[in-house]
Amino acid sequence: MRHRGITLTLTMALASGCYTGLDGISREAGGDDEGAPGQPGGPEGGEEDQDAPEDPTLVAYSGMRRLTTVEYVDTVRDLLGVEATNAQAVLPAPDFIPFDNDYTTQTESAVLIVATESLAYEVAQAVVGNPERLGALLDCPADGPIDAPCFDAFLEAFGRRALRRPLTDAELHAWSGFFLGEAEVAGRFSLAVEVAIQTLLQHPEFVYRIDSGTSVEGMDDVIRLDDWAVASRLSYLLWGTGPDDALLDLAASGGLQTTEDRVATAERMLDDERALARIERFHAMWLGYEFMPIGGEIGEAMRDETGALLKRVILEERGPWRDVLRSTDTYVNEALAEHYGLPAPVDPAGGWVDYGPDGRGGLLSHGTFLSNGFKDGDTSPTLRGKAVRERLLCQTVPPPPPTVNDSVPDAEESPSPCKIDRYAEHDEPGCNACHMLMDGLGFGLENYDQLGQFREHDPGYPECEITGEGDGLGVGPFNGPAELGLILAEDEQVSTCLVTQAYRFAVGRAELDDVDAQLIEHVQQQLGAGEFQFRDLLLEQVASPTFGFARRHHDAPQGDE
Amino acid sequence: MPTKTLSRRSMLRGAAGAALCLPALEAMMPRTARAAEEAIPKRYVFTYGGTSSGRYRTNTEGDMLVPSSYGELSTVGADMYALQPLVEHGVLDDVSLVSNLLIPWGPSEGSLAPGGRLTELDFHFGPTVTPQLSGLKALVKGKMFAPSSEQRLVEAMSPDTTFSSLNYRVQPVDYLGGNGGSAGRISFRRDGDSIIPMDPIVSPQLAYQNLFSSFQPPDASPAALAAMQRRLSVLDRVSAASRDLMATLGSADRERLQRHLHEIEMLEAQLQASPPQGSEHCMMLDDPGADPQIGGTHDGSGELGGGSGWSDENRRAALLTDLTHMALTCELSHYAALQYTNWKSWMSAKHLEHGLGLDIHEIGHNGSVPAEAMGDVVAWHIRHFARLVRLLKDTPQWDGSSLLDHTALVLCFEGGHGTDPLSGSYSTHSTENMSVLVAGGAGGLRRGLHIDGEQRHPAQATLSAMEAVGYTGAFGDFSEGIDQLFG
Repeated sequence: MRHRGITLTLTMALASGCYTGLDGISREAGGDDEGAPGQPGGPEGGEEDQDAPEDPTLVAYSGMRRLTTVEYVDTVRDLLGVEATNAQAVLPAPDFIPFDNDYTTQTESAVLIVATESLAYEVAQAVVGNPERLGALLDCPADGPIDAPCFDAFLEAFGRRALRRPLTDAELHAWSGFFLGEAEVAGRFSLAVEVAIQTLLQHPEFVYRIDSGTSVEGMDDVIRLDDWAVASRLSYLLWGTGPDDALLDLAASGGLQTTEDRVATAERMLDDERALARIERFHAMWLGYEFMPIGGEIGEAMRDETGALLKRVILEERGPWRDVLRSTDTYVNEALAEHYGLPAPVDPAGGWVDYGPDGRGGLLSHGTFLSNGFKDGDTSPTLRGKAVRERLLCQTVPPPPPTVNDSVPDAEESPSPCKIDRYAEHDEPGCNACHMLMDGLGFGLENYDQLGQFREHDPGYPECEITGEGDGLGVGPFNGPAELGLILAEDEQVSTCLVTQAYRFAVGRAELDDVDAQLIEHVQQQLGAGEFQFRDLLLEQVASPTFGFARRHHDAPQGDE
Repeated sequence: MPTKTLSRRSMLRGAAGAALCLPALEAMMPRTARAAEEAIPKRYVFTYGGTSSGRYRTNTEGDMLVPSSYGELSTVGADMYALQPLVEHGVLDDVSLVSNLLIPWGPSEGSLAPGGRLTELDFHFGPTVTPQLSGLKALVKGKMFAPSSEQRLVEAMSPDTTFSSLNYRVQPVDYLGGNGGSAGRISFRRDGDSIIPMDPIVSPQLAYQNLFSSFQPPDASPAALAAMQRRLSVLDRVSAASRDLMATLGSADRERLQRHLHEIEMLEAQLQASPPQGSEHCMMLDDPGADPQIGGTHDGSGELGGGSGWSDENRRAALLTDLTHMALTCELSHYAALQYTNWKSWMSAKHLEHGLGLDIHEIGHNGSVPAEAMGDVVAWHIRHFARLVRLLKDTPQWDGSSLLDHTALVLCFEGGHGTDPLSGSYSTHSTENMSVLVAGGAGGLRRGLHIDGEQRHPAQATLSAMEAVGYTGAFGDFSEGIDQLFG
């Protein structure tokens, strides 16, 4: 049986131009000579942040960010208790690169306006049509006579939550007059609430997250965020939804002005269940299982499996993130256990079961991750290996040259039907420089099909035994996802990749510059070597002395990837 | 029979009994009636399929679209697998197929022929989209540097319609790709010095609301009229808030918010627009109801699940086709872009003829499935295109002609079918042997032909369709179309 040993070195791969290291971050000269960023202005033990960053060149770019579809749905749910189920159907779709929140690719198109209006009306109708929801908003009978003070109290509270800042007196006065005027004409008090919701859910400060603040003197393009903008940054980073009343109250009382305050607040926010959903989503987009070719009950069970692991490692045990790759048990329901060939949990609805010695371990053995690399009805070791390289190691593998037919050779028309033999042509000169980065990794996972089920041979070809032997260039030999997980858990590149991707997710940009690189490096230095907790990674983002500042773009992005 | 100009309270009833009425707002100005001999405005529809037109295996196998001979399609093409939808809809004589088109390639910008592509660009997001949609060279992955064809027409012709153009997409999400943004756009407009992508409407319900919600029922109550006024007032306040916010933003954000504000103002204008020119065929369609659910299993097991390959695109295509047809009939717009599937489409093939549990992109690369499976993919797109052609054909005009006689439609595919001469290997990722369907009779377009494109560029076929509706400029690098499309 052919063994896919790797004989070429990483140096040769570098020389071939097929390896670009950490993807796309320019590392031009800047900051201190040793690579540590200059120390931006920051607090010392509870002092207020300075009004200006010590080094204005180390403030990251930040632009107007439209709520993603998921953020929209979560924000509306938290605001009004309504599920905007139609949001995915009508709002413009994002690119996932790998996250959905890259504001530089967002466009302001006709469909956005039409969809936003349609959703606002739909949500408003759902609220006023539900006495319980309406009753939660108004302290007076919605079906009673018009009660202006009562309505104003609602408007003030709702407006603050919706726009993520208090309404001005002028706004309160003008809008109250308009909304109550409409109610009076219609003879229905609840109409005032309905129109208020319709209006505020279309307001640009609801649709977009806007960095509000004051210009830093002498630095035209740098602003110091006000407390409302800081509250929004915190809530969307950690919860993916708008700031709640407690967070807004904290902003109002000046409780977010120091780094210490913000970190303490973030710690409390990470204890909230909304943080888990956000963490899950980050991982799904980062690791490529947001879109899985597996649906139904098994697909849902797989997502639950990965969610349970993330929750346990990150939020409950608060262990190093690497434990996600190293876990020796998994959370399955009865159906998923049977699907995987694992022992059934005690509770058929779900429970932890040990993997035992079968080669599974950590997130890399979950059906979620293993769904990567699906091609032509089977797994593609090349694409799986590419997923490991690009998603976990943040390495970029260029696409095949256009002269290459990248279709999988037909098994029946090949000298050998066995996949490992059909892939042998990837060892030929001109191909191997890139393929040696991928195929070895993929073949090490080949015992697990695209549904995460174990197999001993190629589908339809019992004579084509799968050994599961893999060998990734720069990774080393392994067999199966458990062994690969253990190797990658110790690989500092994975840690660096995680920090980088978390930063991308936080700033809402895939494209990073040298300032971003320095800020990422600063976070890495604060975290130390790779046994850091994911919680601490998020908290270091918040603790960044420039978290309370933003640099404005000069030119608007064009909305293209 | 002259078209009717609607008075403010007049009513039209379509075959279904649905009534189309006028917005009854003081702000509206009624149009003047057309003279009986007035020219019927030309319409243009650009449609797109995110699939190659052939499969990788050999130059003959897998090509279910292109007949081996040129000439009358009814003679040379009536038996072609992928052209059967044209036969089924009785429009084979109304559509011409221009084949043997080519997007040339080269290693550097200087070596590129007009509309060519750099060989280094990844096929799915580089080489074909820019050249086909804009007629320009593909130098950067997926980047557009000029307006798309229907937007060029909007610029050049300044249509006096409620909607300058329509922009719809059938496949609602990208499924496995996660690139629903960039892979799901075929319309790009100019905004000053910038070229701005235009997201399409994918929800048939939203498209319906957008087209018809400004119209009042015949028995519009004061409450309904007040609701419309209120809607405009809400938009006014949102616009005002946007303007107030502008001053607090940096230049880049200001520019974006300005675009946002512009679109709000466009919506307000649409709601206050004059009524359409009426005819017995301009009617308010029945409410399509809730959209088909998004997502379905990719493996074809039939269970619904998130993120996977099927959202009843058949129904979606039918609804969006109906809306496009009615919008053109009612002159709510003269121009439309209709994207059937995303570039590199992962739409499931489960509901196509062979019922395979693969996506249509995989079928293009999978040698283990029958050649007809690839034919199914191409035929699926042609089926929906043919239906639109048929609807237009069945829409009579005052002079006895059909609306199709005054329309030019285009169907482009993401790729062709053939080899890459540099390697000599066959590839589904081919920009050789590309094909474009051109339908309609606007401007003297010749119909029902299989035309040898003689290795000209697909954009030239599109240019011919644009010229047929009155366009006189260039389209990207091209100033000449396909002459055989005209008499």
